Amino acid sequence: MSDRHAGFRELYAAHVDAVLGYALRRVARPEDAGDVVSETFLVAWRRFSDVPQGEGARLWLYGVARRTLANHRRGESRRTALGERLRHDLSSTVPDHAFAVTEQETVRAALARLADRDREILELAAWEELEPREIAEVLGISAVAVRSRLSRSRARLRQVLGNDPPPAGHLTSTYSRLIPEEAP
Amino acid sequence: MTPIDPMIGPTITDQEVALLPLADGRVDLLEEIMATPVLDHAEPPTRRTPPGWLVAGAAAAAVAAIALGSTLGGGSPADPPEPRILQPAAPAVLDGRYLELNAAGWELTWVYADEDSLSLDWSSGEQSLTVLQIPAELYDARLRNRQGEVRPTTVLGRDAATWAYTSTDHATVTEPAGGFLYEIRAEGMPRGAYEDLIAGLVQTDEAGFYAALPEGTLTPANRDDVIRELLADVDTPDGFGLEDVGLEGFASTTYAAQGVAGAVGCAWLDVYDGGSSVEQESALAAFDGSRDWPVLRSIDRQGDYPEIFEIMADYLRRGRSAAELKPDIC
Repeated sequence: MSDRHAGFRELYAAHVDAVLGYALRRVARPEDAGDVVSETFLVAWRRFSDVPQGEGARLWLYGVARRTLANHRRGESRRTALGERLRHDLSSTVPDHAFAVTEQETVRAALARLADRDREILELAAWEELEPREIAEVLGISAVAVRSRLSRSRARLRQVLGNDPPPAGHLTSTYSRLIPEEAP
Repeated sequence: MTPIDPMIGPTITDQEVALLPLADGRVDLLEEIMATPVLDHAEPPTRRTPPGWLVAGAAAAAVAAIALGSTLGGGSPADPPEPRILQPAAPAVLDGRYLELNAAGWELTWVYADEDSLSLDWSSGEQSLTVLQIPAELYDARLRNRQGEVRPTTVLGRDAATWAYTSTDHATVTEPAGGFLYEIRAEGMPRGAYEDLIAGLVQTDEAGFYAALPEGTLTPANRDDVIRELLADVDTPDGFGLEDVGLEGFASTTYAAQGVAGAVGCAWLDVYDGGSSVEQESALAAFDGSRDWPVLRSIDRQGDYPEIFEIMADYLRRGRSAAELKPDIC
């Protein structure tokens, strides 16, 4: 087995659940997470020499998954023929509660009302538990900018939580990703 | 992680993901990917103009330049779609899209843009108004799942839909035109006041936009002067210049101060990294003395940024590498 094959197997085993978790927390349907994982690791396979060693690999993969997800949302994702089994199994095995409104409904709704850039940085800090320097790697911006934006985003979220009851208005993308879309 | 972060709990954790019965699917995907042809290609490394203090440096320059490139220029994953670099608004983004708010007591407090969107914030006491310019293709996504009463309105000459989250929290989305749409949010005011406020949004020219900027805002016109002022009484490495501060376009005073301080701190870490004992002592002395830098004192109330500089020398003395510390300030 070549170094590349062995190294990729190691990379995949170490991070596939992290990437799958990243995707599951952000897509409308569990099976869509399979597409994100497939595309992300296909990029990693083809550009294996670019993947950093150690913990940097996870951040690199998050960065790829982030852009894959953005393409997916714009309907621009290249659906690969890969990962059909994973896609099928995800659709049947991911428990509904993972996509249900939880006791954190108010916080989630408040989060959904933030601008995309504010919400994304808070999600990376809270869901992936990334430090500012790690978020900077994922987003491709400086740690200075991350600290500035984190501070501002948290302040905005506190303001929304402190002032408002659960909203009755527009529920934007994050909220729609957390609950199944309703028929009109 | 701050106290507010745990409140934003994930819908499913990585630990829960690991317990999902997906073993076959995971293995199949791995094998399928590894059966695809490899399209390796050799790309020339991205070359950046060496910063002044590195040009002025000696033997360690090459090593330091590599470290700088990975930190400032290429820290993000390198896959085909380029990452969207978020940065203060560039003039090209603003060109033809200058907005002005004609409303007494309101001040423009934030200007921000990336490659395809732009954000302007105004505030008046506890009230706030945000106007985003975002790509037209996001129009459907912005309207999807909208609930509650929707009122047709006209904003900036465009048909728009307005609704309320609460009695004091309002949102408006305009029809797309020219490749973008406006998304507007305002908080802290009743419906009538909101409608009056957004009626004050108008297109303006460059001069009008500049006139509305908060005092001290870094702009393309005053960039060097602002940076020079922020560098006053700051201990910088030999050869460090205005061009070594990566600020372009527009930036609030706090953002600009952080950018300037970060550039200086980063430069000192480069000096320390592989430098002679004399150079390393100079870097340590700079960090030790950073508590007196006016640029850091000016943002002392805005967070923990100055504290990071103060403890930087301690970290280095305890053996932490400069490369390891760079992401904290660069």
